[in-house]
Amino acid sequence: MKNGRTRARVPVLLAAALLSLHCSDAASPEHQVSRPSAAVAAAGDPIQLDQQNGTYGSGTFLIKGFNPTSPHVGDAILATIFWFGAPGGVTGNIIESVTDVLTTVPNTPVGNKYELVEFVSDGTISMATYLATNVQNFPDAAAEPSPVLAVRADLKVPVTNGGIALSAWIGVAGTMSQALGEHRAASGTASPPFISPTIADPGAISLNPGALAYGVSLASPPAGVQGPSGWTLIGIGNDAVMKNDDEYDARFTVSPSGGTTDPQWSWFFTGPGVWLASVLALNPAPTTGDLTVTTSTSGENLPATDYTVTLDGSVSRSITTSGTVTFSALSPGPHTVALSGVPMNCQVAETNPANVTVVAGETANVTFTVTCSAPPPPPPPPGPNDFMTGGGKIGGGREFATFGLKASPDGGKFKWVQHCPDGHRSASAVCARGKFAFHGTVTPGSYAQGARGPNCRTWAGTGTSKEIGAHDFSVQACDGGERGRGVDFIEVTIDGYQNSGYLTGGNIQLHGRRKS
Amino acid sequence: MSTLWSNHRGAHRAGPLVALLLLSGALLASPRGPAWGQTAAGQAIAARVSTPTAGSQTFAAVTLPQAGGMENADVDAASVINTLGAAGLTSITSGQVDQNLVSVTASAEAADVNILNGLIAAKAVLALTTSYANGTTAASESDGSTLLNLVIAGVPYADGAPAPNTRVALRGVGYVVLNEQISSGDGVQSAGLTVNMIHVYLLDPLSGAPSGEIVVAAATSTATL
Repeated sequence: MKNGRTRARVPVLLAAALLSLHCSDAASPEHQVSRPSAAVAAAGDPIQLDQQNGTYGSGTFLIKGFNPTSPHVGDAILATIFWFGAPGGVTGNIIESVTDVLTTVPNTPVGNKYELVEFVSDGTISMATYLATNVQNFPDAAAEPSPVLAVRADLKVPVTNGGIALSAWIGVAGTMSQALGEHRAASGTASPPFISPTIADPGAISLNPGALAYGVSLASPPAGVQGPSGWTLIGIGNDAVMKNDDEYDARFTVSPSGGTTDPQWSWFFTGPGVWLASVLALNPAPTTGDLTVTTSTSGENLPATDYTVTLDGSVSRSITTSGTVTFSALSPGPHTVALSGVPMNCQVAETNPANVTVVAGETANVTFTVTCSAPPPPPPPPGPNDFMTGGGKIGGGREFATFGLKASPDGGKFKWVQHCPDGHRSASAVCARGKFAFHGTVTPGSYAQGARGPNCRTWAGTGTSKEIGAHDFSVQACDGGERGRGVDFIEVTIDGYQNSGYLTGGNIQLHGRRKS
Repeated sequence: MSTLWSNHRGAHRAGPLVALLLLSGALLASPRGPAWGQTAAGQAIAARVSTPTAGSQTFAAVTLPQAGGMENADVDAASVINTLGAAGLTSITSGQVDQNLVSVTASAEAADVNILNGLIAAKAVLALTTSYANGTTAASESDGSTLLNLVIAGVPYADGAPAPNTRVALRGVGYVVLNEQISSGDGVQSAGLTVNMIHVYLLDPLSGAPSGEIVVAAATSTATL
């Protein structure tokens, strides 16, 4: 992409808050910049610049250490390599590999993987940026005279004028796929009359909340430069050898809320010139993980209705009999996943509920394999003497419901009290409306055999509640035996409200027929 | 002297006698089932106060009918000056005598409980008892009973059900028994259980004699076959 725009010249201002050092010491081939102190960040802390350094050189490799202090283990390292001209006539990326070493004699390979993010060249000047995430295997924050971490770029052909700029970042996601966001690069030329600055603009990129935007612009010949507004300077460099060749300016910004950014460098060329610019986003280390639940159902007499997946006993979602549901932004650690609503003629192969550990930034998977068979002949419909009584509790902790019921073919009564001591909780499947007490009347004739088994009955009716008003309701209750706790089951629907589970106290009793 | 008071004292001092009386009382007071000796008795009281100044007041009380079924009672709020405040009081009892099994459940609950001007406070109180008898085995249990955000004299207690019959002294007032449990029955033909989640025993500060009581969430279930 070629791009060259000019805009009205503005005063060059470098904010006092700039993190680093305008190091354009022409007498020194290696620019040494100061480092902010940085503690190892905990997950969720914003991305911080840990260490940075840079140098110029020539030959078949370029190398620079993080002297005087290595970065922290777990950092992400960005290495941008620059070179002038087309060494050996090669106009593409001449970098063979980027690796890291310890500054022992001889150097000790460290082994972190550096991957190319962006290469841009106009045939006159070139630069390539590499990224390594979650760097390991070196002494954490080691200070000289101990060996420090260094990054080395081996080249396919020797260069006469080259450079390397390093920066290490705390708080970046630990894998390449998670860490690297959008990235762009562009090149352009400066055109007469050189009254207005030439804008080097790699293009806009999107940023996730908390993401780092890292940008660097390289220009030839060196010129005055004003970096992107609001960005913090990491380093700016030229050298005696390349004094008349090129100059780079590297900066960053962190976006707490995300959005887009479009960095622009204003190069104040006084004659014909060229520029390169690139920008990339690095995402922060995730603080949550996802959980995907997959169901697979096969066999005969497959269920006609969806199952329910319940996470940690509190958050329930419907899932098709062969489908997938993802719970997002879960706290890392152990979780339980329960599959319910499986008909009696179907069996779940795996342990149900399942225990699963969620890791930040990763997606854990739970699979329930359900096999169904032809059900036994349906039991006879409830007889005239068949009826059900019961009372008790489902749920526990700070979200539970108590109930009482009597239902028969002639009608009956139903009482349901949803307890939510913490009030309305929109994230809760049962406490989204807060506490309510519901008193219902069973509609005569609605009492019937339940789908969950021969000892289950369903009925429907209408009722009222001071808190939620008048509603229709339906119930399926199952007598699993005595004691009722853990074996008796109830499923209640009051319009949009649904709650179900095995009893945590109380008992449900099916009367009037011998139970199967 | 109240029945509950008598039961508690009996549980500590005259257990067998009171158990017999309880059983006898249940047999006499409870509905007769379809055959002799079959009974299903349930009672739930969300709150009850008995003091010289307040007299005797009961909130949201239900008793299982002789014929069985389900009964419930609700009271939006209970207020006895300087003695008791509570909201959302509900009592439910259900049960039936069946040919093969007698099953009874009773629950009593209250929210935002404030006893003796904050000396005892709780966000939610639930007493839940279940009894069943099938002719060869009879049992009762209180699973599901709970206390949430219980604070006594400024001391917070963990959510859940305290150990049965946990007694806490109330300086200058008397004492409170948490998760008070009084069992009855022989475990074969009959079983019964009363659970009083908060039972405050008021004592005269001079003489130490009983002067009243406050009960929040009292549930009783008895099954005999």
